[in-house]
Amino acid sequence: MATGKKILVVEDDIDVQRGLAVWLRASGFVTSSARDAIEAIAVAKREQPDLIVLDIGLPAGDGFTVMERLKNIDDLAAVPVIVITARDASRALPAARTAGARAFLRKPVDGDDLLYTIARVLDTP
Amino acid sequence: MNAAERTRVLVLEDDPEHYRIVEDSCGDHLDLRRATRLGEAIGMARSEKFGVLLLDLHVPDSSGLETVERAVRDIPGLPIVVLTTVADDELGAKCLRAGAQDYLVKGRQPTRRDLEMRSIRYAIERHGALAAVEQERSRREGMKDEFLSHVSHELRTPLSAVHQFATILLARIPGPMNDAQQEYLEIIVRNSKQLAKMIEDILEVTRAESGKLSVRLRAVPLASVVQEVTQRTWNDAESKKIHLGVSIEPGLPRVHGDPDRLSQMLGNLVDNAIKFTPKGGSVNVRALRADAETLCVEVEDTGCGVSEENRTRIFERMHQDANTLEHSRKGLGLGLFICRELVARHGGRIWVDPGPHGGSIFRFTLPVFSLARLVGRCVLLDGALRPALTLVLLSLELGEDSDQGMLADRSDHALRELLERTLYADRDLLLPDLHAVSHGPAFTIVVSTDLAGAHALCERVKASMRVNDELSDLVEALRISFTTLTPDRELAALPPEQAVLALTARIEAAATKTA
Repeated sequence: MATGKKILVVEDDIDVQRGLAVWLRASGFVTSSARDAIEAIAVAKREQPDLIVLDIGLPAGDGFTVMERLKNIDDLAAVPVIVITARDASRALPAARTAGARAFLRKPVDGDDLLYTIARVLDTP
Repeated sequence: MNAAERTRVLVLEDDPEHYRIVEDSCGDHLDLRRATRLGEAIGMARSEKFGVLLLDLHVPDSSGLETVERAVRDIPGLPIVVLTTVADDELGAKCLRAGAQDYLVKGRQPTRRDLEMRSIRYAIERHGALAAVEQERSRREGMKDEFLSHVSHELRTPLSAVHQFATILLARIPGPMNDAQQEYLEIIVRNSKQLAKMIEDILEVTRAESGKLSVRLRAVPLASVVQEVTQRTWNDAESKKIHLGVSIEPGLPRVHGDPDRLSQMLGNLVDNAIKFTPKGGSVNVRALRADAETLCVEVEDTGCGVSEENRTRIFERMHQDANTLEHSRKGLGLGLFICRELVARHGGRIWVDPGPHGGSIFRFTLPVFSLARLVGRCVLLDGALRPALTLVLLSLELGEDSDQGMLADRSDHALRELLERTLYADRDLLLPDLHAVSHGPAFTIVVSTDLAGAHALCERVKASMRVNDELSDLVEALRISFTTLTPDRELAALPPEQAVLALTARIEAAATKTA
């Protein structure tokens, strides 16, 4: 079980965001949340998360924009990002990789898949 | 008539005599510009605007039909009228198929200027009309794709929330629950999965209809696909007390297929079989040899069977067998349609037979993987070996950074797409991966040209890489090696079939060595 690692969940749908947070907290993570691209950057700066779970379809600039901006912020540039999306994977996957995502999950996200993926990403720096 | 009002025509003609004939017959009415090489014509067409290209098939840097093909590819949007010296209807027809709008016979006496002018004008108009139709079609197609992509996205989000909270309850994160609660939640999860599958199917059908259903063929051992699918569906069969049997004929050769797509096809059939078989029945999956060049996969069930009049219709889009109504929920009726489309892209066929004791047997065929057959398709021309053949090995030498796996994957995909666009489908061959393990992106290609032609091709690949977002940084990492395969006397003396086999062995040896 991960103890006290901080995860930021960026997802515009409030229900999906809550669902992801429930899974994460049940596994011992501390979660914070943001619902659009601007809030994502602000919360990331404030909370200094160990990992970010990021939806691609967001208001006020998409997930790719968030990743671009994170890269230009010194203490956030190295934070691993896991992308989740409902978009057609064949198109979104290469784009997410190009933008620097460490892993990719498609909606609907399975809780076990999410936890497994997070463990894998956190274990391999 | 001043120059500004006249149609500007690019004439690709290296012979001064022939150019003079064109000038004499059309120079008064058309604004002519001359190029003597295809490369020059392509350059001019890219920097200036022309109404039409008059093209001689034989110029110093290209000859025959290839001149038309390259002009169509490198100068999209310019109507082409081919100039030929002989009245050869067959060649004319080939030019039209290659994308030219019309052809003219040069120097025919007496010169029928009116006919030539008409032909040029007609070419411009016809090209314009075709372009407009094509533009409208692709606009509509784009709107439809965008709509479906949007709808599927919007449907998946609420579905995502339903699935998540149901699984959170099932995982007992908020606390304990009783057996009935657990059972009802399992029903919710099962149905949300079905809904997700339907949304996927709709997207697959859209892709099939717009020709974007991608299939990447290679040599695949069928046994591993069968095992993967039966393991995946084991639980569903178990929960209905259905016996799931598997039999694979020993010593089967590998098939020419896409492993992910094969698993999707067989998965669809096995899911269906389990769905339509009552409790306590059986489903049997078999892989066997049909003939020397074909394998067959069978899925037999003890379900309700398919009525005779429905045996072909069930593979059509949105078809529902009325029989299945009382047995189970219908679904969208897209699974078998997707199977049929995928089997067709593998060069096989799919059908259903009645089972010996009721139920049905779904069967589909797949071609046995044969490198010689692929090679034969590329190296033979009218039953004889092509005069010049070259083996090209392209690979990307990537640095040792930690992200290499992802970079390799991404560049492999991008470079493959680029090569597929650049090569000729009928006379170049991008070999399927011959080895189970590959170190970074590597492509082996047989091209039907000599060393100089292969060099030119690689220059074109590099030029395309420079303007490609994902590959522009990797041009320096590209490693290229050439092996000439041009048939020697020994090969030339063999009958074509044996020559192909011998050549295949040489290709395999060279590819393995260079890899």
